[in-house]
Amino acid sequence: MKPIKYTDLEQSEIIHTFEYYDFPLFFISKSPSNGLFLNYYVEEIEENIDKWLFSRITSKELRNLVEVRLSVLDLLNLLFNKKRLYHLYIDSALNHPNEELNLELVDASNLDKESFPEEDFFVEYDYVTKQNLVKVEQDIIDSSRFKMVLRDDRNSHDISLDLFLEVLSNLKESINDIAYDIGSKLMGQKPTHEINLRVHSLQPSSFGIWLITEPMEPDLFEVPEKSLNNLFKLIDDIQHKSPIEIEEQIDIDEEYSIETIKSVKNMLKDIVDNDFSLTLEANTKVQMMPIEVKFDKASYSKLDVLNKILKDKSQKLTEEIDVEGVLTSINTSYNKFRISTTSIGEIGGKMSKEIFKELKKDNNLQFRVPSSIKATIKKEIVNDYLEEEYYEKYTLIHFEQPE
Amino acid sequence: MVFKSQTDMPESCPPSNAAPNNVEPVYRFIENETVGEIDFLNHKERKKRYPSEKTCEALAISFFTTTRAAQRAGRNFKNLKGKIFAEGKITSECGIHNIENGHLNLWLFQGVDMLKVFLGEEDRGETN
Repeated sequence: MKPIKYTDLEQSEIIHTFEYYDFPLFFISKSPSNGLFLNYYVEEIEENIDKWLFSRITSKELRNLVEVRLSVLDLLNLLFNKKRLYHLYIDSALNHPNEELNLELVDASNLDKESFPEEDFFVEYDYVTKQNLVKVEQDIIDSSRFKMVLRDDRNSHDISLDLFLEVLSNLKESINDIAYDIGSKLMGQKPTHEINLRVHSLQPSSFGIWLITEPMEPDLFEVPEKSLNNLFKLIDDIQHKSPIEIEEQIDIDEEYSIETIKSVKNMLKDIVDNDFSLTLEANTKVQMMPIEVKFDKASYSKLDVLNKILKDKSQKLTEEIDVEGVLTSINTSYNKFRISTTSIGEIGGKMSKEIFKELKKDNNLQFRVPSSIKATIKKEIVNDYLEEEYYEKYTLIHFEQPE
Repeated sequence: MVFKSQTDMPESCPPSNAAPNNVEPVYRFIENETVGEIDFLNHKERKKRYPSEKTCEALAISFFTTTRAAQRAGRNFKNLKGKIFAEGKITSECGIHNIENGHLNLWLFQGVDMLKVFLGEEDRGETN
């Protein structure tokens, strides 16, 4: 967590207060950059110094709390287990607004069970909005049958087979990536069955198809339903939420993995590149309420949100490492080398431009193969989620071989 | 009437829904085994930090109007766990208040001996 200053607290807005006694004991604050923070009072530990439980939470966690689906103790335990819960110490006597507050991660060594509620409870009332808080049931999507409509400008009844197959394939990949995220979160492992799609029937007017998910047997953890639910939600979020709200579902509450963002981006990119609109329609499982999400021309620019996330998450790491080992092969025509190192195993790559140039003009530069070698290698690790490039690259920049 | 914290009160404080009424019973967590004057200090008097937009609330003192609300707070927060909550009363003469969800915020009038009001000793004084 980033350091917090007194001015940050001053500039934050209290958007919900759930418990109050002389002062708000349990409240949610919103920072000027729209970050949401849980504040739960513990005690005065010495004169003027108050201790709080403090954590960044996501808008989804807040919604689950306010809609009385997530209890307070469950939320605190989740934050603690995910190493997201901090002790925040506030010194009332301090008058330096730019002074950083004392924040410490709550872990097994400093966890004070007394600082958590004695019994679990749900929030009941919000002193800010002055409303009683009641449970809002979340009816998830019935995954056994849903409709995908692909529409071009002319509302054609036909579609390019390549595009159709590409979108279906990306749709299946997106649902399975989400299922993987859910499985990892819910069961600590990937789901046992891949979710397959079956085309149920085609329908005229635009290009719409009903799809059925497999396996059709009820799933104890409702993974297919939850996966489709989250796909609908993500598409809706892309259209309506700010990038920060989508990003926090990846970074903070780990609702979506980077793989999911990538596959959904690929699916939507097909829609954008071919000037189509995508509509997904389904009914909720219990109340059979129709749900529809759409990605159309008005949302095309929102694809940038996903692109930006993928770009921000991409990494390019470069480091120079010294290795020792045996030079096992060298190809001076095609500029390739291979070293069996004692520290990082077999590596292969190219010589630096400088070495290669030197080699071409100076016959004194020689390699002995196989022979021991001490070398300095430039190691590049590229994880580019946007361009989908993933590689490790080794460049030989200096070497010594015994005479 | 002049309020105890009149000089610190921002505009629109106390809020327009606050009114003077007799309320009994009310419950207040106390610091020691018996009720004392220290138990009626507001957040500002206790020299605690509060957001500037919450000045009005920081000048009020809290009571619960049901034992359920008091017990709930006592179970949930370490600063209240193990503390006794005392039963007492507030009167229309001691200040104005509003009640939300079993919680009462009281803005005291100047010169009120809240300890006596809470314990009902002011009534006894008048009748004697």
